Amino acid sequence: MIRIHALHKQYRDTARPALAAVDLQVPAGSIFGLLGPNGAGKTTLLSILTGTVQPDRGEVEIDGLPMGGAQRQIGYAPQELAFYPGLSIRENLSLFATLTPGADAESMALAIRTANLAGHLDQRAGALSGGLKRRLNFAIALLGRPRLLCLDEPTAGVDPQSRNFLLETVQSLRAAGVTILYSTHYMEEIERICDHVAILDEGHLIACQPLADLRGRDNERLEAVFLRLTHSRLRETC
Amino acid sequence: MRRFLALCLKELRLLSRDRHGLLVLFAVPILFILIMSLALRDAFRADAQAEIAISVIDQDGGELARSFTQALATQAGFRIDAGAEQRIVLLDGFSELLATRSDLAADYADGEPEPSLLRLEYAPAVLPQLRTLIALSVRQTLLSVQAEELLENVLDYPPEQRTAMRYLNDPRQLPLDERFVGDDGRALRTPTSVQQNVPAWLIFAMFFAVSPLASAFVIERSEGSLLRLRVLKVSGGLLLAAKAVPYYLVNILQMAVMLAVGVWIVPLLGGDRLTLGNSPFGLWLIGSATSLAAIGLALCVAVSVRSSLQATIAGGAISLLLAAIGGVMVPKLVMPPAMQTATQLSPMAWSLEGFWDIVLRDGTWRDAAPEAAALAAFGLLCLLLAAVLYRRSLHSDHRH
Repeated sequence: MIRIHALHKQYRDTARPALAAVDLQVPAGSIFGLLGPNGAGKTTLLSILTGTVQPDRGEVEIDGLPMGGAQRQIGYAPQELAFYPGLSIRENLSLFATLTPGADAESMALAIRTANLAGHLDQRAGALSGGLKRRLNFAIALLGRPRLLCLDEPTAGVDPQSRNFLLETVQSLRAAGVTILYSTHYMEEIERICDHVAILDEGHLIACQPLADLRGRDNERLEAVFLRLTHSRLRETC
Repeated sequence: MRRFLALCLKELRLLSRDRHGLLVLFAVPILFILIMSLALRDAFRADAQAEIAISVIDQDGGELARSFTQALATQAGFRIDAGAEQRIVLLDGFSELLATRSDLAADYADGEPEPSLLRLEYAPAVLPQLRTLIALSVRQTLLSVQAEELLENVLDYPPEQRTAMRYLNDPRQLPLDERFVGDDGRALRTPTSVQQNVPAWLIFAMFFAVSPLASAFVIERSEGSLLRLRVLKVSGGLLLAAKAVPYYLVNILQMAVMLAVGVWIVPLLGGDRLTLGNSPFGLWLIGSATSLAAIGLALCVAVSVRSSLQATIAGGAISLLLAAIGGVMVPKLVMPPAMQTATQLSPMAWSLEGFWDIVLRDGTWRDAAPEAAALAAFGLLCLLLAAVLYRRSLHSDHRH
């Protein structure tokens, strides 16, 4: 269980907070969808959870532990392709396995199997297809056998086959007991794999419910719900 | 330690696969060393006699005009060449005016301007120092011709007495003891072309690591791998150290390769052989201090720029500027005094002095220690600044 209480973050030289008193509870073993327009605060929330951004106020607990003590249990796949294009898949995994607390040869082999990278280990990462790059980005996040996996737009720019593979893999990880925070703009992905959904807009949490509750008795399409809650106004962020 | 070694290995792997980076760090400076060492070989020789090509156009045709031309042709440092850009035109009446005449004073007593014996014609781009040198030499040759004529034809000195007065009619015979000395009067050797160019371009190459290092850092940041490292709690200090150590190894490899080029390759192509002095430790010391300064500067640039293009432009511009000021591109010896003083603003000049302490002045590591200390202090200051700037950049990152 992740418990987030009154989380607030405002960056320097910005008019409004990136996160404003956000309260959130993520059930253990769930796939928790994080939705929001650009600039809503999704990446800031994930960055706070992964320790790269310090909140101004508020608390985060993971399985009852304060954030600092629990960060070893977190795996993170940022929306950027966060690896070295000049290194091979094997070299990237080996490097990040050395840097990841708790990772070893066995967890590296497991990450390779999970992301189905075995046939490409000696290929230079920069020369991979979009789908393989995303799978490598994903595999690196698995190296420390995380109990909480934060995925920030993990399927951006991949073909349907790779997307399907990644979504099935995320579901299998949930089945193995991993809690997953899943940030995306693709509503159909949320509809397919998530149990719970939180919607952020301009730093505020405007919905946080089980997916079925959010869609209502009419089983409204998630995109319609999202646009109704966040309005269809274009969001210009910088 | 395992994390540090893994990051160092990553850096070395990436650098070894960066063909353009390797070209800039190794091939380009080697080419500069070869070209500049050979092109400037004669200009740097301490025993070289600068030879000025000059053409003489004799419009007079008299005996003294012929004597003047002959005297000039035997003058050390002059070469008579009909196609030369600098010309001496011996005007009509040259011999008559040069001849010693007792009635000369009466001719010009009324203030009438004295006619010219000759005209000096220079190419527009001629250096002022060369103009002065030519004018002085022409005057000295005129005097020696006139003295010869005076002794032989007017005073009618016998040949043996003229020999006794040889400095008067032939100043070239005046023996001069020329030597290079330092501020303290101690005799110094001047660098040969290879002693100037190998350390100079080696230092330039070490500082040119600014560009690939800064570019690699920017790419790391923009492509997200830096973010991943931060998630994995790789501290700024570890990150910067893991960049500094591989680039230090590359710098030391650069030094070994460039010195080897000076010792073995330049002589094969007809240049002088680089002498390394008697202090390998001194070479390592000044090379290491130079590397520290270069890496510190590179990391400062790396954490300051926001794009790969900025890294390339800033890295290149800073290196070129420091090289231009520091006596790498234009040797300090040929700079005017004010610019020679200004070289001290560039750490490349400190490094060059340190290398010269070893390879030129046969000094020990103690002689190079002051320059090494200055470079190390500069490098450490830059590293500190880089750490501060990196920390600040983390806090100013806007991520939504």
